[in-house]
Amino acid sequence: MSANVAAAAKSAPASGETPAISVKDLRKCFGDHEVLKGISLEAHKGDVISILGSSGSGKSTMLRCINLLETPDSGEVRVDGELIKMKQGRDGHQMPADIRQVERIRANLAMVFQSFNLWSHMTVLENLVAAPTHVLKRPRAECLEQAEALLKRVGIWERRNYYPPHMSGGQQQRAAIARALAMNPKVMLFDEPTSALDPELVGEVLRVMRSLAEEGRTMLVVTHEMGFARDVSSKVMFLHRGEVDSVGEPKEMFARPPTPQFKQFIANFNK
Amino acid sequence: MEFLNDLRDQVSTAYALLAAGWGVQLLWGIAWTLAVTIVSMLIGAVLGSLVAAAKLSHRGGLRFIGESYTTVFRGEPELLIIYLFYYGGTQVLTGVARSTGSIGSTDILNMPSFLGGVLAVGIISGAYQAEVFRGSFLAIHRGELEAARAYGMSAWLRFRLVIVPQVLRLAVPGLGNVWQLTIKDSALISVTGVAELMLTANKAARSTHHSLLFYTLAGILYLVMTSVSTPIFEKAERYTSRSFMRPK
Amino acid sequence: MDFDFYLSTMWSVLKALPLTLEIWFFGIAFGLLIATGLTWMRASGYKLGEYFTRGYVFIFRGSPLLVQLYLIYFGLSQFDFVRHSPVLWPILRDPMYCTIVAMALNTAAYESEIFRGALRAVPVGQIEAAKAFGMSAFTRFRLVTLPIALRLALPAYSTEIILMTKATALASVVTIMEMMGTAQKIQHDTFRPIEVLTCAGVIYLLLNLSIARLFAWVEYRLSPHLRPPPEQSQQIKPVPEVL
Repeated sequence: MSANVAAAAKSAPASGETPAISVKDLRKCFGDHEVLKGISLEAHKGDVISILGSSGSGKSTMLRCINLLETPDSGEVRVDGELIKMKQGRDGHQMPADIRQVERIRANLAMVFQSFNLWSHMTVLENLVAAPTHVLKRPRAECLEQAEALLKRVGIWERRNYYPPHMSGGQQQRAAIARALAMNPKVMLFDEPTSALDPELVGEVLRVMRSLAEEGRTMLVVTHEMGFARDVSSKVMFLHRGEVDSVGEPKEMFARPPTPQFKQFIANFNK
Repeated sequence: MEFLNDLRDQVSTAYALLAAGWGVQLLWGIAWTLAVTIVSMLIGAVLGSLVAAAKLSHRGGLRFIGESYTTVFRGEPELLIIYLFYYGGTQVLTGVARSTGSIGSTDILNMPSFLGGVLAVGIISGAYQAEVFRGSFLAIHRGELEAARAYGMSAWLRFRLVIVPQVLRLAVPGLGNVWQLTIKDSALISVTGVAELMLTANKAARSTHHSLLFYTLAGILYLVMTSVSTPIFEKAERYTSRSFMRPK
Repeated sequence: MDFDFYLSTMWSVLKALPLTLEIWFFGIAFGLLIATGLTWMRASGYKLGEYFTRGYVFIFRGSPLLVQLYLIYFGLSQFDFVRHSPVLWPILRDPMYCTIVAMALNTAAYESEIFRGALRAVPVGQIEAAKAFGMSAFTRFRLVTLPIALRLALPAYSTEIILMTKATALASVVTIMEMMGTAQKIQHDTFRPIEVLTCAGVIYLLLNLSIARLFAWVEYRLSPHLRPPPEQSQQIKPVPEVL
């Protein structure tokens, strides 16, 4: 780890405010392959953190460890100060101690996936209403009203009665973002939201994400969009081979890459 | 415990009964079952490839005949088809023989039960084989046929050198399924009096009053026949698709 | 052609249709229950459940239904405890119940394989999304996995139901006078098997075609997401061939 990590830690507000997400020393192996070698991260309210790294650097795995879609081998994850309790499973691996707690926390961390993962047998509107009514137990009428408003916001209200397979990738991803917003999440997790899109459809999704950032949402974004990382995010984190290589202010990081790896990484992108 | 005692009695009588001649009878039963299945599969292969060709034809009339064949023979109870060929065959044979005067006007000329059975099971098998062949033909890579045409091969040559080997290769797993289906269908022709495994088990069960024993034995023997054929078809699949594997 | 004979035969066989449908319905209903149990055992992740299901499927798919029927009807009564059981004996001495039991046990093996395949074919990403939105395992199953799996299982399931219609004819070999049994009796009485069996055949075929149509319709209704989007849906998709 470089000295920048310490610098970034120092830049966090000194007041005792609880971070929205705090990850400490996360480790994860797939078989013999160690994907995460002790990753730490803190996201405060209103932070937009872009997580960069070449494929295989562990960035998606890290994001998926935060909402326990992957179970970390060791390390701790806190959401709003609440530690996700883990226990030792019978096979020696760690597992969540209280699945109810995990489900409650997941409902606060809406995720947007690379391949959208909209529920294909539900219309767009049903996709937006399913989790709020069944997980948050909110009244259906209220959820429907909110869902329509959100669909207007992301610009696909006309398609509210469509099934996902009938929409373009960009529309599906905007629907997926609206579905995440319908949960009124504390933090939004974006797992390469534009990587599965045709180049001409990337812009419409990025515009929605930018507007979310501007209204002060807390976002963790795993992405390959250098423009978004540099111009929209409040912090950039670069992972290299399962470790945090560097963290910092986006403008600063891109102007003066702190490590040779990051320099190499952005050089490859600019080619 | 009563259960266990019952079971032990069954096992101890089993040996005696099998040694008393029923064992040999059952072996003959297996032989007949295999004979019925093999002949039916062959009849089915001929009919199946013709029906598949009809279903793939550009001519509407042929397509209709092919579709009707598979719909009817996959939609009717197997038992009905078997009765139709056995008793219906007897009806036709008797009618013909009576009118030519070769039997008396009250005599009956029975359909040979083996012939009636294999015709019925073969025709049913043909309906399923037709679907297998059709699926395999549709799975052939179009480019290979185009290539054959581009090299000036005649229709017959294309059929012999490209279509047949490819269809056979792709059809092997499906034919394995039809083979198992045909073994199981062959048990139904016991109703017409072919001394295959099912009828032998029936006779043994009735005359010895040990139905549990003989029907269990029959069940196990059918299981052996259907499961032994699985590795054979897997081997055939490996053989026919050898050009698609990496050289050793 | 003897038109009256055809008509009267048709009518006699049709009068046995309710009995055929009764066997069919209960065979399918109990089969579905058993298949659900088997699928659950297979998916539960317990080794014992998995081995049991595998063995079950191997036995019931690998041997003819007729053997299974005879084994249940003639074979099980060999056990004293079966003959003395107040629950089992009334069921197992009745050929109709035995046919239903044999059909249910047999179809359950095939159906559990169909359901297993359908569950495995549900896109992992959609289940993951349900997880990520905090749905509990039960909600996930009810809202996402089950509806998707049911749609995926429907074509193979309808084929299995048609096989069950054909299987009801086996009841005739254990003396039940359903359609096949009735047809056989008429055929023996009149010695006109071709005419009689043709009549029965027409009824069986119409029955199976209607079942196939019904399933195709259900499938069509349940999969709007697989059809063209709303503005293109004027072009009605032809009903898929099921038989």
